[in-house]
Amino acid sequence: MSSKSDNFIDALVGDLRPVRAMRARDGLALAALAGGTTISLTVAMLGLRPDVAAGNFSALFLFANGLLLAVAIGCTMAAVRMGMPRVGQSSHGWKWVVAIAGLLPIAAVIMLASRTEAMPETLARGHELKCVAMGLCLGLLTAATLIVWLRRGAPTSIGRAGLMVGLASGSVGMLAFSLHCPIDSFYHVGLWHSLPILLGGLLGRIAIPRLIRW
Amino acid sequence: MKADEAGMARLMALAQGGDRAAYSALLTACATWLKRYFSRRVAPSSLDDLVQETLLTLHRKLSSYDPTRPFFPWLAAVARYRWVDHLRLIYRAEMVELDRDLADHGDHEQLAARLSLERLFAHLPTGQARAIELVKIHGLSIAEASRACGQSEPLVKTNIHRGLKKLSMLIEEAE
Repeated sequence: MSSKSDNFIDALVGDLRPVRAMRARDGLALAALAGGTTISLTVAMLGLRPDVAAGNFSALFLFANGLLLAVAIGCTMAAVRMGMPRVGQSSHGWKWVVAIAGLLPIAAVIMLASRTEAMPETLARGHELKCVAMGLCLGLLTAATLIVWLRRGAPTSIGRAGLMVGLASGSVGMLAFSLHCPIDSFYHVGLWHSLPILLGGLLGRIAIPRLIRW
Repeated sequence: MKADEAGMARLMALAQGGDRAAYSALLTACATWLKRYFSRRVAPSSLDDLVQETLLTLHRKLSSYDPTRPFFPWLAAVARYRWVDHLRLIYRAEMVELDRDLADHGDHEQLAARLSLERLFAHLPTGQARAIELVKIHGLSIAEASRACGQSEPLVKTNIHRGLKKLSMLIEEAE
């Protein structure tokens, strides 16, 4: 070992401070706290949709929000794992979850195209755009939490990590707003409640890599 | 010191707790391991710099290692990331000696071989691997690489771009 190398190692040793090792369960707990806070605040400030507040749950409500929850959990777990790199680690589970969740908008498009059911008068009104905007905005706390986690960690696939953060935060935000949104139409839920996930993924893939590069 | 998995994981856990003696031993062992790890895939003139950059990354990302998991797959992921980053940045380098034989370096090299950079390269299409090897490692110009491998100059550039992008996606997945 050369003296230059020894000096370099000595400098790093001199700079050593105790650190708290990252563990997946800590990352998942932080993300769950962020998601739980978002949902609680949304319900407290905007209120629950009337049928849910009365204890009635439509099949569409349960099915669609179950898919949103699955995407949120799958993508959050992938993002948390990406913060702790390891050769031999592959996280493909999120692809299956997203593919299954994608059936909802695809089914809505097929129903629209085939006119299986009566077309809505207008596809996009103020409320539809509000769902998209709120879904994205309400995902910001989850996004910020996962970005902080990834900045502390060492993600090796930063583009994919950004995509995971975007998909996870978009689905958490939409899940929170779905508890308030009273519309129970398949078109509305299939199209407009899926769009924040898609947009979140795109924004995350484009914007987040520069925040987590190391 | 000999870099065995259990010993390195223990030193790393101690280093995360602030034990400087353990950290010094860990970094010294890592420097030796990294030199051997990178030696076949970077120009000799870049080797020390890349090892130091990787040690500095290890220092900055110390907390990203989970002490309940194996150490070398973590170190290899960090090293691969720095290596791909290095390939992106470097445009010309001296010729590298590629005929060293890993078999002379003892049993623990079996682990190094499993995690090696060769395995990462093996996942690239031949044209992309050849273009990166000629330009980013051997230091040829685009025109020289084009003549050497029979690809057009735009294709060499495209293969380098696509190959580096694919390498960065494969850092953890390709064993």
